[in-house]
Amino acid sequence: MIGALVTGFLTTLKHVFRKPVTIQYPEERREPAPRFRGLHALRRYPETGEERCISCCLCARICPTQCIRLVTSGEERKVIDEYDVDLGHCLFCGLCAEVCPEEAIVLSPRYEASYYQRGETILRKSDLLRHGEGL
Amino acid sequence: MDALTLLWTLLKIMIVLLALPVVVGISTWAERKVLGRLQIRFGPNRAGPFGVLQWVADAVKLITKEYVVPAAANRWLFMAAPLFTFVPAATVYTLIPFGRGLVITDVNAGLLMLMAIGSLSIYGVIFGGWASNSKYSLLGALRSASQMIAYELALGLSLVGVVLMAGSLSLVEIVEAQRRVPFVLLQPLGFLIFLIAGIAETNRIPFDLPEAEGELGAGYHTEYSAMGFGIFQLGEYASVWTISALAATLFLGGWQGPWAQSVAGLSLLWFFAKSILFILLFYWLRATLPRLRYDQLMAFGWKVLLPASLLNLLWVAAVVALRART
Ligand code: SF4
Ligand code: SF4
Repeated sequence: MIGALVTGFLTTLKHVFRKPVTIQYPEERREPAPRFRGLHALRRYPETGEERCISCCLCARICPTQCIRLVTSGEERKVIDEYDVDLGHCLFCGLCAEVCPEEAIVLSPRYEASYYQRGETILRKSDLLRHGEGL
Repeated sequence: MDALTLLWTLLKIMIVLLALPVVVGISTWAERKVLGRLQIRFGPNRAGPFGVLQWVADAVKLITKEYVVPAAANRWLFMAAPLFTFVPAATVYTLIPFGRGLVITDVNAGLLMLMAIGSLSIYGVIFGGWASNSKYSLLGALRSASQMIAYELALGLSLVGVVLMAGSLSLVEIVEAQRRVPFVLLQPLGFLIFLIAGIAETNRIPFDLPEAEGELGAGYHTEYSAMGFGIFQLGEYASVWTISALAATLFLGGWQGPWAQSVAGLSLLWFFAKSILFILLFYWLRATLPRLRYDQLMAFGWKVLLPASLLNLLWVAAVVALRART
């Protein structure tokens, strides 16, 4: 028992001289893993700047928590009027991105999702497109 | 006692009372900082340089928060309980010699009085636990009570060794008696027992069963918020300082040290240096040890610590007898 105690004390003492492993968050950030599932983003075609989404609504259907809401209009080629993702319900399961035939919705590496009000947790289409810039 | 002495004593009391919250505050910051480094992280480092103002921020937060009294609680006892831990913890500082001639009162039965006042703080825990009307609090209070009884015996017996050797109950004279050899060298076992029992008295890891956040929420102060909790915390840290200061006074020769006889300021420094040594030990313990299981704690108290303290008494008696003969 005494031996175990001594080992324990020496271990903690040794740690004092090690560099802390903490990342100083707002100044230092960590690079998320390549397949990290962060906040949603809607992509565009880089050449034309056209939105990729064809409003097939597959993402909204597969979403287990039904947190995607789409409002579309138009006959020939539908346009999306509204595209909301409610982060308050989202599981970040990535099914929406997986099912999308156009690879329009993706989960970006952004991970900062703290808000002051509950309503702010709903990402609008404009937010999603902004997140999608460069993806 | 003439008016001047009275005034002077009052002034000293004021100084100690004002310094205590500051010292306690800084030691909470220091604890978090040291604990952080022991666990390979930084600890608070936002408020002020190295986070030194963290404790001020905490204090402001605690003072400005709402003081919630549970509906089913015994209101007055609930509000008074934190004071029962803090007041005794602060009162014992009237007896501790901080340096050469720096003591508020030199009571001739100082050690006895210290034990008596020190044990009062258990009432705060029991009242707090009972008045909250919550099962977690009550369990924490019960644990605390039985733990105190088990460990106070060993603590008292280890102090008897000190008294035997110094031939006095006055803390000032006990320090004087260690001018040549600090008692830690003469009765290392007694020192160890005092330290273990002292840590148990302060309800700190590994003996923090009364508040065991793992199974009891926060034990006796589960229901406390804002400054009620703050005062409990103040009391806990004050008693950590008490035990450290006592360990330094009774076993390490208090304010004695090189040149302490000639320069009064230096003796104060020695006293603080020795106390801080123990404070650091408290932090180190907290970073290293897990909490004991309740039956282990009781078994250790009654079956190991108590016999060991009797053994220590025997040893001290033998040393004193031998010294008297030569
Ligand atoms: S990540 Fe999962 S839960 Fe979130 S929107 Fe996509 S499908 Fe729905
Ligand atoms: S699955 Fe893709 S293409 Fe279809 S509506 Fe959703 S985002 Fe648009």
